[in-house]
Order: sequence, then structure tokens, then C-alpha cells
Amino acid sequence: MTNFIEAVFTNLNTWGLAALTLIIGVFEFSFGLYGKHWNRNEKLLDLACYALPRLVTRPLVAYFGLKFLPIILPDAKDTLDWIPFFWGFVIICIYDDLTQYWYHRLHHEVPWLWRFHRTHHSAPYMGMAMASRQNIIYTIFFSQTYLTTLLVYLGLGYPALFAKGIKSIITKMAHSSIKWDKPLYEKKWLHPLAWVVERTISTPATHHAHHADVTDDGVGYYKGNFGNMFFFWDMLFGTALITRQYPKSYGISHYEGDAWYAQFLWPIFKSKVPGSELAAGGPMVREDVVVRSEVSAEPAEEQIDPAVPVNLRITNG
Amino acid sequence: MEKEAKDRIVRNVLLSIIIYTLPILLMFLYFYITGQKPWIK
Repeated sequence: MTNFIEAVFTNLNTWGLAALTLIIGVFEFSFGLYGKHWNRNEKLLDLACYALPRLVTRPLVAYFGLKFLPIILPDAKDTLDWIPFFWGFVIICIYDDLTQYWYHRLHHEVPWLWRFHRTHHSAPYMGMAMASRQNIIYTIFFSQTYLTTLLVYLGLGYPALFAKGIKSIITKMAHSSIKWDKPLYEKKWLHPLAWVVERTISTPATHHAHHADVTDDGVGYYKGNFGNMFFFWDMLFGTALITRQYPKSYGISHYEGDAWYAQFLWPIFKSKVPGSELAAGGPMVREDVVVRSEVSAEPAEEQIDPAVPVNLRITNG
Repeated sequence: MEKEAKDRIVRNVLLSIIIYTLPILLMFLYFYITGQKPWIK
């Protein structure tokens, strides 16, 4: 049994996740879950963001782990391999995901960082197509990747295999347009489970709210819900909003389809859309186009979680 | 960046530092309680 689970995670970290992404993506597309938003520009951007970093960042991370670390820390290799699996797993989960929480949150809260993360939010849809959609600079400096590579070098490779695999599944499924968490809110007897799940890991409801094109409307909340694998960072730091509802629309309210290459390679290439945050001389953070978004027609069984006070919300973009 | 947001980041970063140390402290507490010394091979 252990060998089987080990094989599953080994394959997940090599070809498995790509295959899973493709299968779920095809399913989403077949059921029209991208709506009419997936035009040529968006397709090219999603494809470039998925494929090209594999040719750039993966070799870079491999160089960091296999060449750079042995040079600067020659005696440190496998020095922590005595750490039992359970504790190694806990350490990797916390160190990797908390670091990503901060990397992500700072790109929302520090105005000059926002444009490196904007590409991920410009998608007017959710799904596998946009899950990897990031500006190349954001991808290259993914801080938790280097921290986890360091921990693997120090001897935590085996627990990292499982932690990264589980994290990848959770984050992919939180971005999916398949609302797998919906039954948890619809069936009353599942509410206790829903209460635990939505506070522990990222779900479509909480992460879709983060990708809404409006905020503070009672459902959309791009100023919070930063968690990737774990949602309890948001609970702990007061950046959470749980509504058990899904936004009606996604993306950026003032998005006008900046060219895919400008979104992928900004600031090397600039957008030609006047007034865009990615245009030459464009604003660092552009104010929202105020359009009140209606909440989903689907009945909400539970309103905003009173445990998360509104006054804890962040006020800058 | 607003001062309120900046202050909140600083507060949360300090809390995060504690969280980063927590699994290490708990692990050694567990070793202490159970008498294990896995670093001795």
C-alpha cells in the first residue's frame, strides 16, 4: 500500500499533475465552464504561461538545487534527513504554504508589486486554463519554490514529495470552475464538514471570491482570501471572507484584453491599451470600474461568516 | 500604501515568524517527551 501511494505521488510530481490538469481542463471546456470569455488572446496567454515557464523556471530551480546550493552549502546536504516523515511533512506544508501566502498577499497589498501578479487576475473565468497564468517575473521569483528546494537539499525530499503533491491538487481544484465544494453547503448534514474544510483549505467558494472582479459586495473579495493550500492563514491573519457563494463574474473590472505577450512579459513588453496598468506610463494600481455585481442566482444557505469582521478587510489594491 | 495596512503586515509577519518556529519547537518537545534522539544515527 505504501509503495502504491508513493508511486502515485511520484507520478503526480512528474507527469501526473499535467495529465490531471488536462483532463479537468477538457471537462471544464466541454461543459462550457469558461463561458464566452476564452478568446484567442486569453488562450495564447494561458498556453504561454503554462508551457514557457517549464522551459525557464524548472531549469532555474534545478540549477538552484543541484548546482548553486552544493556550492554555497557543501556540507549541509541531507543534514536534516533524520527528521521523521510526519514532522518533515508538517514543516514542508507550513514553510512552503505560509511563504506562498506572504508572496501572494504582498503582491496584492504592496502597490508596486501588483502588476507582476495582475496577469493571474485578469482572466475573466476560472479553471485549469488560468490556474498557471502568471507573469514570468512572478513565476521566476516564486519564493516558496526556492525555500522548499532548500529543504529538499537539506534532506526533506521524501516528505516534500507528498506535501507538494497534496498542495498541487488543492490549489488546482480551488481554481477549477467545477464547484466541488457546493454539495457541502447544500446538504445540511454536511455543514459541520463544510465548516472545517472551508477554514482549513482553499475551496472554489473562497478562492473564486478572491478572483471576483469586484470586492466588498458580499461575495467577491480580491483584497483577501490569499491562501493557496491552506485557508487558515487567512483566518489567522484576518484576511478571510467566507460566504459559501460564488461570484457572478471574474477578472479585473477595467480589463480590456491587454496583449498576451505584454501580460506574460511585462515590464519587458508593455500593453498598448491606453490607461492599462501594464501600459507605458500607466497607473501602478487602477481604481475599479464600479459596477455592482449581483450575487449568484443560486440560493445561499449561509451568509458572510460573522467570525470574519468586515473591518478587517484591506483597503488598498 | 496606507499606514493601517503597513502596520497590519508588520504584526502578521511577526506572528508568522512564531508560526515558522512552531513545528520545530513542537517536534523537539515531542522528542523530549518520548525520549527519542533520531539525530543520533
